[in-house]
Amino acid sequence: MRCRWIACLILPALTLPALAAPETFDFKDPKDGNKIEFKLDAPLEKIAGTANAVSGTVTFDPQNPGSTRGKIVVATASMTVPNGMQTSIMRGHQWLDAGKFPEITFEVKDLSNVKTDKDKTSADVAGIFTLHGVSKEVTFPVEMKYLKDKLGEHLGGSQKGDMLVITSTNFSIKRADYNIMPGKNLDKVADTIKLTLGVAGAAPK
Amino acid sequence: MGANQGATINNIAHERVDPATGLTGVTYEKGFIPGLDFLAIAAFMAGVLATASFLFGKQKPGT
Repeated sequence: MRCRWIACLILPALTLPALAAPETFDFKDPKDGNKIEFKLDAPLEKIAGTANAVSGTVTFDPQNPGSTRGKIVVATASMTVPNGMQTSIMRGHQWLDAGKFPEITFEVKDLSNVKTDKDKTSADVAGIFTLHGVSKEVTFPVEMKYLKDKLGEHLGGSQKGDMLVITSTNFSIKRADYNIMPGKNLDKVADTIKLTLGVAGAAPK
Repeated sequence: MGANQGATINNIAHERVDPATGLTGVTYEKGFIPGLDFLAIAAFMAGVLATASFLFGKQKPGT
């Protein structure tokens, strides 16, 4: 009789990890849907462009979004502005030096102010942002949206899996902090770079 | 729409909204949309040619 009671208590506890299992989302999108926008507003020139070669993985638990960890990687050579010559100069050794620093990365260390409403979670994410060979601790607000069983719709097929959309519209850095031509050409290339993040990761089943 | 009032565009962006995620992805295509820099270069070359036509033009007979 006692064994039956013990089994009744233990068995449900064994199933709880399966319900609350974190998922690992891969942010390399075969449909090139991921994008990071950057904007610089200098007195003489406005620069706006995008980077879309995003990769990396993020582990997300729908039952515990605050435990989210992972790393997002962006290929420096994918940063593009509408003018071809400006794009080449931007990627060149004088500015971003894509040949020497091929990746821009952000590694998630901690989440705070986590608020979850159904499938949407807002939080302040703290982590290490690495650009042009310089790593700095940064914190900025993000919104995460867990899309259960939406991978098939994204890929246009029958692939089963979940998706995680991460967006952020309030993240700025200063290029001087990352040793990108500090103090130079400020009339045409602003020091403040505003970043807008819109990326989605996939967790196939 | 309308005239391009910025620099010449060589990388033409094409946006597409993903129905599942709602995100707007962008891909680039090589192209050419002239901007103000192209107009400035064309005006400069026109000035050079006009000046050259005065300096090296044929002389009228009897002058």
